[in-house]
Amino acid sequence: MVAISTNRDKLMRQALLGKVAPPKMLVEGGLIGGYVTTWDGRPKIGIGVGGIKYNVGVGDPCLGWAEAEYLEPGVSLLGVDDGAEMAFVKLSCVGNEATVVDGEAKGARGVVTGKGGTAATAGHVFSHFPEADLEGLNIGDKVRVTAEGVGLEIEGFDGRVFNMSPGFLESLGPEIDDGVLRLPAVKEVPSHAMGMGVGGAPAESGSWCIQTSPPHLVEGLGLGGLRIGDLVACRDILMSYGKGYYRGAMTIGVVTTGGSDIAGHGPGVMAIAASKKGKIEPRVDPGANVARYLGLGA
Amino acid sequence: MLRTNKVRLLKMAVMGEVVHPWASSGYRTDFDGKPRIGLGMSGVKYNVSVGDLCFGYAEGEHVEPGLSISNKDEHENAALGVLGCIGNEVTAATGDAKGAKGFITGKHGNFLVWFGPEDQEKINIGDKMRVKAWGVGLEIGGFEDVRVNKLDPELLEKMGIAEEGGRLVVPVTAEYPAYIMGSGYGMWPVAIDYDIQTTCPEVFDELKLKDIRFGDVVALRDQLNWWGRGYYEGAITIGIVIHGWSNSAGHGPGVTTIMSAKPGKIATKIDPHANIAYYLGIRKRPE
Repeated sequence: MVAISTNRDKLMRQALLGKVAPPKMLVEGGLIGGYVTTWDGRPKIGIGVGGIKYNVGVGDPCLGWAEAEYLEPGVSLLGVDDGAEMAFVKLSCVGNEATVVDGEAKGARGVVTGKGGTAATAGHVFSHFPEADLEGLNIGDKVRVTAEGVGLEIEGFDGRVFNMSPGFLESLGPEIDDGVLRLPAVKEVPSHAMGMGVGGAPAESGSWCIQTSPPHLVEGLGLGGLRIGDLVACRDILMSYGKGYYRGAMTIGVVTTGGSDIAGHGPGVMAIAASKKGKIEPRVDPGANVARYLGLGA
Repeated sequence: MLRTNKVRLLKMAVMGEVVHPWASSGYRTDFDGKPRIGLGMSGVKYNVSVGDLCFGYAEGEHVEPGLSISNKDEHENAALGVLGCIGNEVTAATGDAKGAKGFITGKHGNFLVWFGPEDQEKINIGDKMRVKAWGVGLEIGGFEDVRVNKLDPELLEKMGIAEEGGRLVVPVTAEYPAYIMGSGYGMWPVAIDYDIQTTCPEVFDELKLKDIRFGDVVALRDQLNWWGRGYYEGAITIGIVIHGWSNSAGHGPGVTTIMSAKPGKIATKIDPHANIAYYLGIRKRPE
């Protein structure tokens, strides 16, 4: 095994502008509507998409939060207008610096920790800011993301990497041997556990859920301990020019949101590396979490 | 004969119109990074019908057999989407084919409709179609824990389903494992289909996916389509294949799900002619 070399000196760095996204309901009902229906037929409010979370960040559990669906960690960002939304999502990468450019928290510096994609999380980029800076931050405040990472390649790797800055990739301690890339992951997830998000957009946007219902699936695969920010290895799963099953493929992704009680839904996985030919070997490490690699102290 | 609550089901008119084909302004990229055109959604297909193979149309992508209808008003379209059921009678309400009758054969984004070839020749894009919607709330006596969805009560009676040992035995052409189910997963079974993925060559040979026909009744293993759509070990979902093959990652022939239950309530029997083209009398069943 040897350390990787990349084309990081060929990557463009550019400014993106986003804003702190407002909280958003999964279901906008009137009168007697307004609940999400869970896999077993219970009404649920479904909170946690958008906004500023004071007590939930990367490294925290995916499951167990009251009334939560697709809980987004830290500060959720959104492109400033419809025309910029897609570029904001596609170009933002984990590890990119985020800087508040107006409002009371102007000048505060944070970091991108993941992206949404499934259901109501579409278009959202998640960021972490120091606790002290959160106090001055408001919904709608403008945030600049210094984007760098699209086009990143690893020399000799028969696969593709996405959605991460070169610095974040290096923090994972990647190694390559005979074309096989070794990356850390907390666990492997089999293809039958993957749900909503299949058939969705190319890997640069969108996510693919690990199903967190019914309970026998969660218990059988030990999914109950998943944390937001965990790296997972999805076997026979190819997130590349789209999201689909491909026998022998391997995708490593970041769990970017909390779980779900809707049938077929759960924590969203954003791909960071994929190989159709299975040229990725996960290195199982229970501490493989974005919080650790970004030095966020979780 | 199955006992049902069909006499208690509302039968009502909902309207749609034949929609024009549409195309994107560039190529769509397939699962392997190859650019493709992708055609076959919406419009009127003169040479693709329920009972035909799903695979093999040049540049085809989610090919919809027969003609495709929807309603341009968002709220009316939502009602059409919820109320319309496979097997419901459709009547041409305007145009040269006025009075002609056909059937709903599937629910994609559009409803897919079959008309006899002579009537279909007279149909134009934009013609209004009246659907006699009937089926929401359908239950089978003694099997209230089997969720029936988007199925005309009279089509249900023609599907050769038998009661044996407390289970419904459903004739199907094939069974598919959970891992192969794709786009539409996690979505609302009342509103949309989900796909049997046809973008892993090793699997489409192994599961004989090229043999799938529009209208086939199929079984999905370990899949529960009840309050939503997801994995459930031992559950069985029965569905009808409604649209064609795909080269986009995670996509393939679509399945409108019509029955689903937790383990022990549904069994299957393989029948290569388990296809609604025969059940609806569109084609003559081979001896």
